[in-house]
Amino acid sequence: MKKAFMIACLLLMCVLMGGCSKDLNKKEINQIDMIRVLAIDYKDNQYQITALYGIGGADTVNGDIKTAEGEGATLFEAFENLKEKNRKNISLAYTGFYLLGQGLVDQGVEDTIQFLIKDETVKINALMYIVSKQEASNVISDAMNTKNMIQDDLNSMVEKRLESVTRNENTILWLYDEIEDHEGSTIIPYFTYEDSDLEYGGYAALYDGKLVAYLDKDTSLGVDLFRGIVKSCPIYLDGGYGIMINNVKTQLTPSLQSDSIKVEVKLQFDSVLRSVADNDQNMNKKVRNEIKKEQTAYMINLLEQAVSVTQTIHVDVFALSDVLQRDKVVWQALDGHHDEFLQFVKYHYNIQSRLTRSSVLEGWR
Amino acid sequence: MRQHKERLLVNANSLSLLIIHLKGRVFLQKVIESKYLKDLFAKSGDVLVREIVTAKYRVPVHIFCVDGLVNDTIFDQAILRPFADNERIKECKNQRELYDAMFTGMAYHDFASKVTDMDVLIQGVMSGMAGVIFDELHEAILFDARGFDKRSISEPTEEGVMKGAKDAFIEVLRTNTALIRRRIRSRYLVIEQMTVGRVNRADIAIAYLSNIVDMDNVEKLKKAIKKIDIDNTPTPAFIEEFIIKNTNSIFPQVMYTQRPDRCSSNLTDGRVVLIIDGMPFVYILPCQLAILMQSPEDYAENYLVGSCLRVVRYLALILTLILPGLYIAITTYQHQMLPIELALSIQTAKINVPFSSAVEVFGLLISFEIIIEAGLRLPKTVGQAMSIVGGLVVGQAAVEANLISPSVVIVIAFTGIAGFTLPNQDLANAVRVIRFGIAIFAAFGGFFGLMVGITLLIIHLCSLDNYGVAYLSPFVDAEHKTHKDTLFRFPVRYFKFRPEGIAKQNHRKQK
Repeated sequence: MKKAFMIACLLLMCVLMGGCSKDLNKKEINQIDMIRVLAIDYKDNQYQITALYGIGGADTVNGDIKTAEGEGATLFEAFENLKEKNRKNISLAYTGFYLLGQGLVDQGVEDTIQFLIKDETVKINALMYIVSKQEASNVISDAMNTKNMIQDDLNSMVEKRLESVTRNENTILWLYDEIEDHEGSTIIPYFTYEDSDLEYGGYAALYDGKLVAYLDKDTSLGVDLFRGIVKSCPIYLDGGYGIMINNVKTQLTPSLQSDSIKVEVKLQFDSVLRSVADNDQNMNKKVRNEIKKEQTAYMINLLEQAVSVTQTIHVDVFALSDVLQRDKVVWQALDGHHDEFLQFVKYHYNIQSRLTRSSVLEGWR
Repeated sequence: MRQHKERLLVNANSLSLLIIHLKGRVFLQKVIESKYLKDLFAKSGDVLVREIVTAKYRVPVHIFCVDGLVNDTIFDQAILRPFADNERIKECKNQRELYDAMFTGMAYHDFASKVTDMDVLIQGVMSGMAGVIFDELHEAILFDARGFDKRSISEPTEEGVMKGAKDAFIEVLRTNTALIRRRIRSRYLVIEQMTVGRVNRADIAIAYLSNIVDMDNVEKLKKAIKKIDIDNTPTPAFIEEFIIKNTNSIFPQVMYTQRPDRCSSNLTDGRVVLIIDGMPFVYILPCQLAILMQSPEDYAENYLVGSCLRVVRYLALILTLILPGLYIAITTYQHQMLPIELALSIQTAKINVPFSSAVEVFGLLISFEIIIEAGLRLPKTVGQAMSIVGGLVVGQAAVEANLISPSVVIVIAFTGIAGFTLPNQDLANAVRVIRFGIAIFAAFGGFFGLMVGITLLIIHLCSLDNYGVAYLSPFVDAEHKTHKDTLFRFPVRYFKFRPEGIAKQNHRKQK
């Protein structure tokens, strides 16, 4: 009897859970179109979405690509319109990239992110990119015309980027959290698209979900240093020195001053000298110290550049509020000024590095 | 003990009955008389009931045996020849003297026993022994002169190993007990013999090591065997179903083995072995899932290799159980679990197939079972050809005709192959049925259904109890001493203790 009751409970549980969403989302795999890349634009007060499907195979060799479009006053409407137009059901479960057009980032991305995060089928680690100064749909229509699997290019871009940073901070979940926690201040990577060529441009700074500025690559690197996500990056110093920076650690320590907040930026890294202008140059201690000084100055310059931009555009691109909130004294002192804390912050840099030789540089004794 | 015997002649079938008063109770014993046997077997050409007399004083006795079951040489030389040659037998003046002489060594055969009950005599002779009947005494002597044709000891067909013993049990009980004795030369090895079946009266033996075994288990088994009241026990199920508790469970609750070495290692673990005449394997009790997953090969190889093989086997068990269900769940409900490349490959493969994943899977699973069944029924050579036609040709044609997708063929083929890795055929058969059930759950509820199916299966397995030992023991035991021969096969030096719930005494195996 007890066993029968348990079995009945289990079956009932299955039925009840099945009631959660449309027949347990029962759809045969061949009855759905798997969106690989979704471009979202905002034009003439209308959301326009363009989806790229991979059909018949995982790549262009074995398969084909197809696009579909939908539009509406809201993203939901546009999405329903897309479903209506499409022959099969569509699924966002495989969408790895969301491309946001210029129009949308000008209008604001908050609603878009909110909409996507609420869809239970959306992959929360899908990446978001802004297509700089054009409509995102151009990328997809161009890919369609050239039979180019744009997601492969995007994947390559991501993989290349992951060689220099420890994590992607442009996943839907991450961006949703940032927008929620930082009053709409966030950064989203952007790329430029010209002649079927994707090029990573850096970060776009957003405030209240709207685009404020595009940051150049150096400034974006400075932002990454502040955020502590740099894995390795090359720097080029005067005198033809090429240096690879590795094992980067950033520590931000806030403290309360009389009229400001001091943030000590402690940056530790190892650097490897990979190229020199003159191979016969004697790399004695004096020269090495000179290089170290130069690389320190270079790094400080990168950080200052990022600070300068953030103070100009008044966007917390470093997620500094998170750091300040961890220090109760500092955060309480800013009571009533949480939105404008950036103007009270003064940065103090403490750069610690260790220069090591590359094995290819035989002249270094 | 006081015994009062009183003879009572009954006319029916010329049978005499002896009424025995023992401890206030009355027993009827059929009195041994050759006339009754002659009447009884008058129409049976193979049963011999013939009078012979001693040479000098012509004392009559009857020999009683079955042609084909007795060894002619032993019978002639050991039993009949003394009637002509032996001086002491020649001098016997009456049946009493002859009876004593024969029993005390004048018949040249060691295994002789006195019989006073007609039933015992008949049963002995029917099992291949030779009887000498002394009508005046109403007694007989049974000589174990069995010599029927039997299969020679050969390699086990199911549990073969590359490195290890190559002998296997045969259909003859006595040979099987000898194989066990040869491996366990312990004074504590007990082989108790019983009979089962109202008509066939099959010999059955229970073997155990009396200094290790839980005697409760032996008693329970004996009780279960005594309860068997059936005409004939022609196949294993006729015994199995009587000695297990949960007959409604699909899982095997008694392990069988063809290997004497495996049998002996289980005996030393404290298990009880049941040997049945006519069956080329022995049963081992109590049986747990863990021992069904063990293979003799595990102990023939290095412990690391043995452990790896065993882990692969457990993995195969899980895969063969859930793979069809998992495929249905993923392709019908939770496709987002697949990597995109794989999802697209499956999608491409299915694009022109008119059936749902569930129909494809069930169709192919059933076809697979049909092919296996057909392969078993057909002669070996035809069976192989049929497997090729059924598996390769029809499979390929079905894929090309878009009746099934190649991915389903791969899934079902892998499911089947994984099932073949299971060392116990009973377990493999159970798994063959259960995977249908799990696939049905998955077809109705996707992953939720799959989990419900698996949960029900685990609940069932946890509820099984075999001679007082949990079926999932030692996985579910709190005692960790005996976990060293479960999922991983530890080095032999770690096998210090016998299974806790099985051996009730003498727990330590080695120092």
